[in-house]
Amino acid sequence: MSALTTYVPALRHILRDGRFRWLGVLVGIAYTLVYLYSLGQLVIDRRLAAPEGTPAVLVHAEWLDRLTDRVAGYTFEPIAALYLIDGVALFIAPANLALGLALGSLVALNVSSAALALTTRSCRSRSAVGLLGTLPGLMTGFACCVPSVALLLGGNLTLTLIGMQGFLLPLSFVALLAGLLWNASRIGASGHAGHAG
Amino acid sequence: MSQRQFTRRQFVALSLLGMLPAACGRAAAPTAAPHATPSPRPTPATLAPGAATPPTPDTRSELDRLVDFIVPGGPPKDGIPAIDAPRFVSATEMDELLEPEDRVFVLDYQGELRVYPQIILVWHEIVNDQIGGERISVTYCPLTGSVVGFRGRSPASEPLTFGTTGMLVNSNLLMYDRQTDSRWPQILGRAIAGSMKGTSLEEIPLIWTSWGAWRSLDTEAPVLSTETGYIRRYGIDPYGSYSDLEAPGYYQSPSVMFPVLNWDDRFHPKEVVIGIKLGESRLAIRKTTALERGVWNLNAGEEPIVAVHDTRLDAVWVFSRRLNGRPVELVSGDTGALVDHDGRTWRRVGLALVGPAGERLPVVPFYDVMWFAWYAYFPHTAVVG
Repeated sequence: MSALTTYVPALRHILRDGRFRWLGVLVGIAYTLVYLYSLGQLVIDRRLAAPEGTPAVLVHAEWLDRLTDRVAGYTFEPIAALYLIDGVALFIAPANLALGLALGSLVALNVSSAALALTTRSCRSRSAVGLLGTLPGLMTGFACCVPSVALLLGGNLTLTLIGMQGFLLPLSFVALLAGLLWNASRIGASGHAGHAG
Repeated sequence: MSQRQFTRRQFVALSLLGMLPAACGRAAAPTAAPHATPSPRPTPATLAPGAATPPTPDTRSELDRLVDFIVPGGPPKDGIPAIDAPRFVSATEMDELLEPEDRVFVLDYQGELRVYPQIILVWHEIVNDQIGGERISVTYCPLTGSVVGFRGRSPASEPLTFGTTGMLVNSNLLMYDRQTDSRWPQILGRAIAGSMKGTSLEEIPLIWTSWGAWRSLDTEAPVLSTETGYIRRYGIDPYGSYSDLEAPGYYQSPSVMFPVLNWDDRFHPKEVVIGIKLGESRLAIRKTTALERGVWNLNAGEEPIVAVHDTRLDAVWVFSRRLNGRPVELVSGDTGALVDHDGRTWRRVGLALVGPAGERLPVVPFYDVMWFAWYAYFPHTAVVG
């Protein structure tokens, strides 16, 4: 009960604060796009082969059967493609879209709460610690088909990172949740939420 | 063995990894060093051209050593999906996608020509194709720059078709066959695990050329289409570029991503050699030298062979030059045609050189491959060039 009474008003306050809500939403959207780009599902490249005439939509004939097919780790098979303009497309793997939005939402809340905490003198220190949780999520796009990361890391580290594939996304969620709760508890303890709410 | 120093970027990447829990080391990493010293053991495989070769007991331990060296490449089994129902379009249609400098692989088999664009195969690595009623699998490993056509049958005489395991041996594609689930490293062309362990596949050479060179031949041979049944970033090569040598990428980098059993610093690791497997012999011909020499009479072990620069496609073909039990010397004649010591002209028809009376000098199994990968499998290879 005490956890609820601490976190709920603080979260409510974070969501209500117009100044930082938009900052969080913008960063959350940017994070989701970067996440999809890192998976190769948001494509920006002039050489991308596209159907004649954009915008165009391509839906796989057996899309239902492919919903849960994995390309690597937590990267799923695209079942549709939205070719927006020449060289820009969004490949749609519903599971990755959902994961991206969930991560983006958590990032948004973390950013909003960190920004809010910065306005509270007693919360200022370490308020941005939760944002570290964004990094593992971005690294889930790594697979041998995203070799630029592998080249960067070299032979031994490539294998290490492949071994970590299964951990990166859950780790990201845990870290983002922990960061959010940390900020919420600081805001709640400062009494800031109560004043605002 | 070359020691690589940490760059600043690697240090930053490693620092980021350091933020993650230490309990992340579950990769099935090999126990061997990434770049081990050359093996004192004999070369692992012998490959007879033609029909699949049955297993021989003396190579078992060498095959087991390769099994111990299997590492995960990232994707799961079939995560890189083979193309099982390839569709082909005309070259004119493909002009929209391909630039003149893009690489394509050409198969000239049983009187049929087929073209497989590299920027499509890089997303699939295997095409299970059918030519003249025969099952042929065209395989490409981007990490080792090797393209090989394979034909084989299971013990129940079914034609073999292949998929990707998501695993690698010596940084090279490890395939499985859908009929027996045996494991086949592409460069070896021989099963290292499963019920077909020790069996070799028949290899069918393909050549690398550029789309521009191919189009200059004015042929409308069918070209593999992007209608593969999958949504991929066709047109984009995630490993870099073969045409822009200044651009950073895997093909120009001296680094390899995955461990290899044997390492040799004689040449740039990604330099292209023509790898030849004939009986017990392994020969690597430096491709740049073969291109310069035009016609090059050589021996692979006891077998006389000739490397021929196909000037129209800027590719190298390798043929046997044993005719009626005796070696034939070939040279480039005044008109650029291939002539023998009697002044007779030979020309390539499909996978053979054909003489004026219909004599044939067949190709030997060969393929373009990055030097590091060839050496990783065959440290006792002979090298020319």
